[in-house]
Amino acid sequence: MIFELADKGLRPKAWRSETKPHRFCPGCGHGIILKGLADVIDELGIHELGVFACDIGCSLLSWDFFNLDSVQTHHGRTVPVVVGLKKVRPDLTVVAYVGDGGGYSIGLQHLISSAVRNDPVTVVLANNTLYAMTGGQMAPTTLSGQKTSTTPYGRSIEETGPPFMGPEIVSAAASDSAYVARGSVTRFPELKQILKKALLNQMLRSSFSFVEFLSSCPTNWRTKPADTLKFVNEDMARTFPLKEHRVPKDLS
Amino acid sequence: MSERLLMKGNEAVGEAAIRAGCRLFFGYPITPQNEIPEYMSRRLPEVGGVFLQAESEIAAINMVYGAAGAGARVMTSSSSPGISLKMEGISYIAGAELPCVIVNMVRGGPGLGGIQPAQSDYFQATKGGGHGDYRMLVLAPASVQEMADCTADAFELADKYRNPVMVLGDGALGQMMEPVTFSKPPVSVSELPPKPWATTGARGRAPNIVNSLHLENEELEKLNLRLEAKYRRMKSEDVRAEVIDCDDADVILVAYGTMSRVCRSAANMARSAGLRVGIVRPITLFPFPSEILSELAKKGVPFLVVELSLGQMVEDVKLAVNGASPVQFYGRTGGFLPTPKEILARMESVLKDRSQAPCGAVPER
Repeated sequence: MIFELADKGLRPKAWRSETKPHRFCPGCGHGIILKGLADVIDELGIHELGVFACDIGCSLLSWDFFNLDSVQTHHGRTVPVVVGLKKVRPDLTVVAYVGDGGGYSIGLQHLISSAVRNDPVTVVLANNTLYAMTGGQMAPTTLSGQKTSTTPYGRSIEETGPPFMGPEIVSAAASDSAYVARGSVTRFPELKQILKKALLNQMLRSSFSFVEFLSSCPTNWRTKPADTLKFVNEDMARTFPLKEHRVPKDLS
Repeated sequence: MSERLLMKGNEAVGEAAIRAGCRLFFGYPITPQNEIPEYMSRRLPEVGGVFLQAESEIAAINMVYGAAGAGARVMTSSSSPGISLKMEGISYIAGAELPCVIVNMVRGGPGLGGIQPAQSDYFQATKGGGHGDYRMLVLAPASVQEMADCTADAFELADKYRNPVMVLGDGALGQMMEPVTFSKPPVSVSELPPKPWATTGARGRAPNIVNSLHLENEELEKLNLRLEAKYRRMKSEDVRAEVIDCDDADVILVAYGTMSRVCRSAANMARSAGLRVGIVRPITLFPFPSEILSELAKKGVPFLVVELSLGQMVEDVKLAVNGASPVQFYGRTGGFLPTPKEILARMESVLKDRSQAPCGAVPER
């Protein structure tokens, strides 16, 4: 199917064709987010002026996903890496692509500090409620009562705290110039709009953007396709409302 | 400008870095290296550079990773506990083969230790420090002038090898003031050789990837062997050491950095007392001047290794000497510097005990 699309010229130009089909599991949300990002990169025409950096975890599998200069970083450190890069070349548009473990657990100090500094970088986070690459352990985003490989009896809020509300917390730390939003892989046109704003806020306004997408992990959730969608659209969306938390006035 | 300036060691590092074309500095406060970020925060804006006080040492080294990946000359500095935090990033930088300069103004440890000078990070600096099979090139200055010179050289060597280079000072070298001359003209950043591998936007070329991930066994081994070849090249091209009066020596002191200065005073005292004392002062700790030591060892002359630790470099001396002559050790810790008299006393006992002392025994105090 992908290759048919390519033949018809419908595959994003930003995709690196020799690394397709990509390495993500069937039904994984990463492919959808990265497809949206590729479409937006095409739309904005920033192939030659963009640098993509990825976290460790399943997001790592995107290290050679794009026809863009790319950087593979250590767990949770993607944000400071793109900050360093951006300081060398402010003309580049940089994307830090991270998971919920990288962004909200091990890399939280970096995410919050970057938001506070209003660094001109775009951080894109995939929230699938667990550490997928390592076998589905509890993440900061694991839902109350959700079973994971390290919460076999369901996540106890009393013992481990409530699910981490990323955009809500980051937007509290970010400046008025920041763009902060939460979207979902099940709402693709919106996802692309969010990504476009997140990039434009860096490109046109030299400001910080942070966007989270509710993402799917049928492999670790052990769900069938219909249940996977239901988990994202109902269970996750109940805890994590889809919302633009910060939109600078002049960002159309 | 080749006038003589009176500077602190830490400031000399900062000025030398800027003159070497460093336009980015990412740091985090820790004693006794604070004058470096402070100097950079003042000077970098004057030359169109960027100073950023990061949220942690870990953030700072990862900013270095990003900036080095984009092809810039970039530096960070810290002191022992902070360098430990940087180690995960340094391993990445070595794995991705990026050039950068890391300054460690060593203080005593383990843990939080103290803030007084020490040489107890020798193992961490020279044996990898972070995870994986890698090395940094490590320069050990012994004066404020050398702090400046080693910093300038560090940027050249980092680019030459696409490898992190560490300048290993200590609290004393960072804080002391001495005259410095910057004799070389400042590097013109725009005239530095291009780095075609850098992530600067894939304009008119295939995309570059800064990466240390190699999931295929063959690929990872290929990287490890390439790194090993690089380290061997360092050993053949860039070993540096100062060898003083070793030809006729009855005993040879081996010491680096601050400790080598005290050893020099001790050697002078000894000479005037009729004792012939040589000194080998490694300037590169990795690559280590093993061949110089193994050559000298052929004469059977005993070595006394003196360090501000309980014995780290002494292991490399023993490897180099390989049993050809006795190797003894003397060290102080906690921030104490051995006095020339203490070292002289040790030398005398080395000569006296030559036949019976086990090689490299830690002295009783």
